[in-house]
Amino acid sequence: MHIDVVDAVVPAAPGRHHAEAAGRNAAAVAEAIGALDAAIAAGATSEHERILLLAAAGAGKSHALIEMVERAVGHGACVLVTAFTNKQVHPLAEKLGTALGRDRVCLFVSAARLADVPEGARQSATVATSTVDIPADVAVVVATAHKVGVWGEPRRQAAHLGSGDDGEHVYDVMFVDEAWQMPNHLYAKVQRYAPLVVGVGDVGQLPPLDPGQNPWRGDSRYNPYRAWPTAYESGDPRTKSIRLPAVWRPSAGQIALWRAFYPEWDELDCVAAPGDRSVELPPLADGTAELWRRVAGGEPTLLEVDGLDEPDSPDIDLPLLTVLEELLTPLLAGGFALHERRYDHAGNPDGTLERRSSAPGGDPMITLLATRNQAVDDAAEMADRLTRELSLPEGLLVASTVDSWQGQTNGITIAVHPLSGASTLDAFNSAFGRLAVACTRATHGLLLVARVGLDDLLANAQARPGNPFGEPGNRALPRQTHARILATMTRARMTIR
Amino acid sequence: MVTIAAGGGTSAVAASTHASCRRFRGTDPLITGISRRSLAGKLGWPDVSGGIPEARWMRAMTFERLVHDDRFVSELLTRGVGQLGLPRPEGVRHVACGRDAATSAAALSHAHRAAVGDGHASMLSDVAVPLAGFTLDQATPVLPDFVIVAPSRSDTASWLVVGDAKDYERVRGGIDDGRILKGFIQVALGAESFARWDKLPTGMTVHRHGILAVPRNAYLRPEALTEDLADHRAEVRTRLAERAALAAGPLAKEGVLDESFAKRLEADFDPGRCTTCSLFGYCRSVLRTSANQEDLLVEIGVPAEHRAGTVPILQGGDGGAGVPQRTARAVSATLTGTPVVTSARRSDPVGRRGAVYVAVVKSDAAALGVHGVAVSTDTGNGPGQWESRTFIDPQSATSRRAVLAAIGGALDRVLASSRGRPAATAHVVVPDAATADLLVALADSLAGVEISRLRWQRDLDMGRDALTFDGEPARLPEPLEPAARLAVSFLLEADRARAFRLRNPLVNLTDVVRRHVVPGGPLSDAGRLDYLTTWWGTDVPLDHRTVSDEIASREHTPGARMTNQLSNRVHRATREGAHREYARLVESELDYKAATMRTAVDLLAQVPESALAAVHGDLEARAQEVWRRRYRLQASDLTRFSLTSWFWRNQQVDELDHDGKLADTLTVLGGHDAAADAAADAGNRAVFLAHVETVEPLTIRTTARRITEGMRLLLLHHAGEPEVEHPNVTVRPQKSNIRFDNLSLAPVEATGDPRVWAWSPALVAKFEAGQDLILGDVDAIGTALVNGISVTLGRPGVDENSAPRPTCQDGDYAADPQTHRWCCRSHEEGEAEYADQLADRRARGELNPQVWPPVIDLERFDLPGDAGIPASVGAVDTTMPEGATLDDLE
Repeated sequence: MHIDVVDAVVPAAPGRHHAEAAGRNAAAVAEAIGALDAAIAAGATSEHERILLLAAAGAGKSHALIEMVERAVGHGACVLVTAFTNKQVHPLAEKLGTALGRDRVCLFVSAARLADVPEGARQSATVATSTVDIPADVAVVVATAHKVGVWGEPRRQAAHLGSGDDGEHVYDVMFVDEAWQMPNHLYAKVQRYAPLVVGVGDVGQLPPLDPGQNPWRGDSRYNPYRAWPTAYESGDPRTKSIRLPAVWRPSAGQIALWRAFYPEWDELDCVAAPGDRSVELPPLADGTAELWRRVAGGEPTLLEVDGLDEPDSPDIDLPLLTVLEELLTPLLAGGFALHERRYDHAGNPDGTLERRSSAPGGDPMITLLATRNQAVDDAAEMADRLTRELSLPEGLLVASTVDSWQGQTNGITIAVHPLSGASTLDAFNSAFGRLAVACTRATHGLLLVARVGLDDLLANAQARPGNPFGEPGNRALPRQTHARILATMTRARMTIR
Repeated sequence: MVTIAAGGGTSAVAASTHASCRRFRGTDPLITGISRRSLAGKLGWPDVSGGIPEARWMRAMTFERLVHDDRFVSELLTRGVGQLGLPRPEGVRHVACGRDAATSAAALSHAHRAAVGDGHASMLSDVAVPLAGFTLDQATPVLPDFVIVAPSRSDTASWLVVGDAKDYERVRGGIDDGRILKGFIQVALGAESFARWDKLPTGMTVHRHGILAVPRNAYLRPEALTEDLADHRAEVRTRLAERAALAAGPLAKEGVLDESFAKRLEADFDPGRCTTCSLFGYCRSVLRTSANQEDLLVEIGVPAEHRAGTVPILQGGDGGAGVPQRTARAVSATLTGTPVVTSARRSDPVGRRGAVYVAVVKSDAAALGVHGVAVSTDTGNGPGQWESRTFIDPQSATSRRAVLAAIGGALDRVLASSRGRPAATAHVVVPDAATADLLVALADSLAGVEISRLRWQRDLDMGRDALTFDGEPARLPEPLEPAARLAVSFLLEADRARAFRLRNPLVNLTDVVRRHVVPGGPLSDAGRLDYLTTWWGTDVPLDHRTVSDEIASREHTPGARMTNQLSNRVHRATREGAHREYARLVESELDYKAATMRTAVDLLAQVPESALAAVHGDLEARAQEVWRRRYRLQASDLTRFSLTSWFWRNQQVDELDHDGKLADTLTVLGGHDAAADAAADAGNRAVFLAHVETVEPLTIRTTARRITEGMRLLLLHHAGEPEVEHPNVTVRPQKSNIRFDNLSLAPVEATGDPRVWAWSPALVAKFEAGQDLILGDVDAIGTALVNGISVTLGRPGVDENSAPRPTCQDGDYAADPQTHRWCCRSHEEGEAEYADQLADRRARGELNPQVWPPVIDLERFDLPGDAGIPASVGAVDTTMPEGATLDDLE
């Protein structure tokens, strides 16, 4: 197996790191907290009804959210924290319960999903499945929007919990985590819970519904499927919008790729400095060693493979997965380790951490991401097989759809490029939101795989529109965006003989 | 005179549209020195498909002139500048540059000084700038329709904002994203060229954004769209670099324009997409005469990703995995000359009581222009006599009202035809999507005018001046007459239902026929009704090329748009005042459309009715009960889809989910091909292909990786036949679900062979070893009942949001506004209240023209005063430049 490797056209650009980068986030959070303080103090006369904290992937927004909730509770406010999925609210309940005390935080879940609540959340927060079980003196209720948005629930909560300071709403402040994942039609069911709403989220999230399926796409008026904060992001006088200009998750080598996904951001820096993270590799055969060396060095890397058998369909590609399995086997068999520098709250270096593949713990060390269910089944089958055959520990290697991996973190991401095997750019494969999510999960390394031909496809494809006219979001075109993203990647190529 | 000449900046859009075609790139006029149309003639295949109808060209030129007309210059300029967040100009100037680069350079200098010195903004029309990277000697210039020079916030700088005018038709209120992209690529070419021009005054900077002037509504009144051009300019730079390299390369140096030159450049042929290229006929001829059998697949438009899978069909075999059934059948039909009739039965309303058949002849000269209409009504005795009308003034409001009055009259007859039976469910059946879009656009336009009339009437009743949204004096139109209002109400109901796949108040006859027959020849030709009926109606094998050519050469079409040839004849007859000839031409076109639709209805009558027809009929009938209440009380029935309330839209979300899921399931249950495609789709987890391995005990063999032990499988299709059509299976639409009885379903059990499963349904069909089966995971599809033979599917609820309740009566809102505000408040009552609100806002200075930046009118209602073309526009030059194709306009 021989792989040729070529440097990225756009290498990682210099920028701020450590406390210099983190300090800018801290300043943004301080500004948001200032706005929160002012809004709570002013009550009905507040200048702002909404505070939006806009983040790139891995900016530490959940930490900021916890800090702001604590602040609001410190003011005596009664708080609702909501999000789109149970997977998002469970860790929030755990963290808030740990910070504020089990009696002051209630995780409100449906009885049918009670079994899914992780032990950590049960230990840290009070868990309730019906309104009357919510402790009447609770400071924070954490629940999905589906749970608190169900018909009649606001009335039940008002009857049980009474009203907040203004005498009208049940809560004083409502926090929405992963706000850009919540569509308008769902937000409409919860928006009247509090006079002040704080939305925190990654603006690069996938839209709640693929634009192609949205019957109101391009309609500049109200669109039930659009993420609710998009109506207020810019220019709304009752909304305070603040950006977090730094990211904690990626290694320094990935920041150019990050910037390609957020082209409208004036600045985006990375807390990790060059050399802060590394992957210790086992001895590898000459053919693949250079590829893994680049991935391990934090360079976002695209491997294109030539000479493969035909796939079931472009994005369900067993022959490509077989190549991937051959590449992964020596890495996993030989064992590897993730090394990283730790930081204190302010971003200053504060010790180091090592995680070995023999004892992973924490976030998965390698995640395989795919777009469609069957492709994920195939990847999961491969992960199971490798885990079984190589006797790997649980949690070292996992597989997921891109959509359900939003908001998650892992050491190394391996994903099939959405344009792999495509003969044309279409609305689905050229939408870069899914690619953005896939590429922004890793702390240490990113390896995308594809069949050869991406450059030809981008050079020859008919120009396609990006965001429909009238929709929020940037005005970038898919071909140019994909080209910008590819330019930040180290390129590798192998031919199957 | 307008000059779109070979080799210059006018071909940027085409360069991006046909970017994947090496032959297109290699025949760039910059290389060959002549237009592709001339080259096609030299190669012996004159361009007969890529031309532009004269009326269409005239419309484009008229719109361009309107953009430059003093009536709109100020409005367009201030709106554009306002949207870009630039300072409000102290004054507005307009200068025409005569499509001359030197004049344009001088005008830019003047405009810059006016911007910097006086704070004035200037619109420069008919500007010319050398194509980026070329001199005026090397290539014809780029000719943006206009540019705006606007003051900046600096004392020494100005902005240059490049614009273009495109008379894009709004389809159902919106302009297609692809067209907007093309328009802005054209604007970007201008911006890129100006940015590289050394004559740009010092201190003037090309703005990052550009402006596209498009029709604001169905009339030609322009409005400004703005767009960030960063990526559009990158696209332009890429194509310009390619063109420059080719122009300097060996192809250009050879200078021999013969067939060997063109043939060496491989074409990326698609019979659907390539018709706008002048070399279409030539490229097709190369494929038709090719000795390579696989070129047949390219010729008929089999997508590249499916060609390998369809090659076995050329050799007498079956299609490979991943090839859609329809594509495989089309290849077979091409080879045999015999169409493939599918096993799907009918669940459409064509040929049933309640159908109103409508054909229209659309004018190329106006978005809402109609030359004639023909209507036939089925009140229970089959399609009735066709009644037709022609309109001497296709663009007038009177013609639009007459078209809808004709349809409304037919709907009235249908709805009144019950004679003791339940009221019929009405359906307007049209020959193609363009007809449906035109009818909805007509309804939308008249509804907007009627709503405006109600507001203005209120203004007059309250002693106020009747003013438009922009504060201009309004001209009160006549009230909408009852028959036209009925049609408007019905068509807007159809438009509001457009997101629901199971609603069908408007029926596209071509889509219905395509469900039952697959013709041979180019896949894109199957979008034309007469092509389908020709194939379906034949008793003898056909030569696909002969049929395709013969249909394409006909003077008439079944759909709304005429052929270029007839369009030009009608246009000339109009221009010359030859009324009798005009009427004869339009009537002959209507006769052709009516005859084609009649043939289609007769052919469909041969197909038996599906058991699922009752489901589709019930869903539509219940929905129309609500519409009838809306119409009777005139409550929210004139509301267009894009103006529905946020509350209504939120309520639609769950129903759309239910509708989509049921539509998917019914499609798979009733159509073997759809089910086979779903089963072959590796991303589908609920439908599987299998075949009978053994009968006693019953086992099935399948390669599906998703089937697991205990999964309950439902028999969907048995040996190619839909199981729901079996005589023993009953289908009952119930209030909350659809119930199916006597189905074969059971869990699968492992047999030891991972590909073979034991399956023991309570009701066993007559299976034979080797028979093909399509099975579904019943728990993913619906709910299996405990009796083991019945399944229910969820159905969408009836849309009763913001609609009158069954108990609502006339006068209820007036008597109790609080209770009836969101159900039966009539348009007259609602618009009166809104007119009062607008008057209050105007009094507070919150509306145009007082407010800056200007308020955008999101309703975009047609204004009666916009219908005509201002006299100041004068006669436009209709001489079409040599080499121009629809790519230049669209």
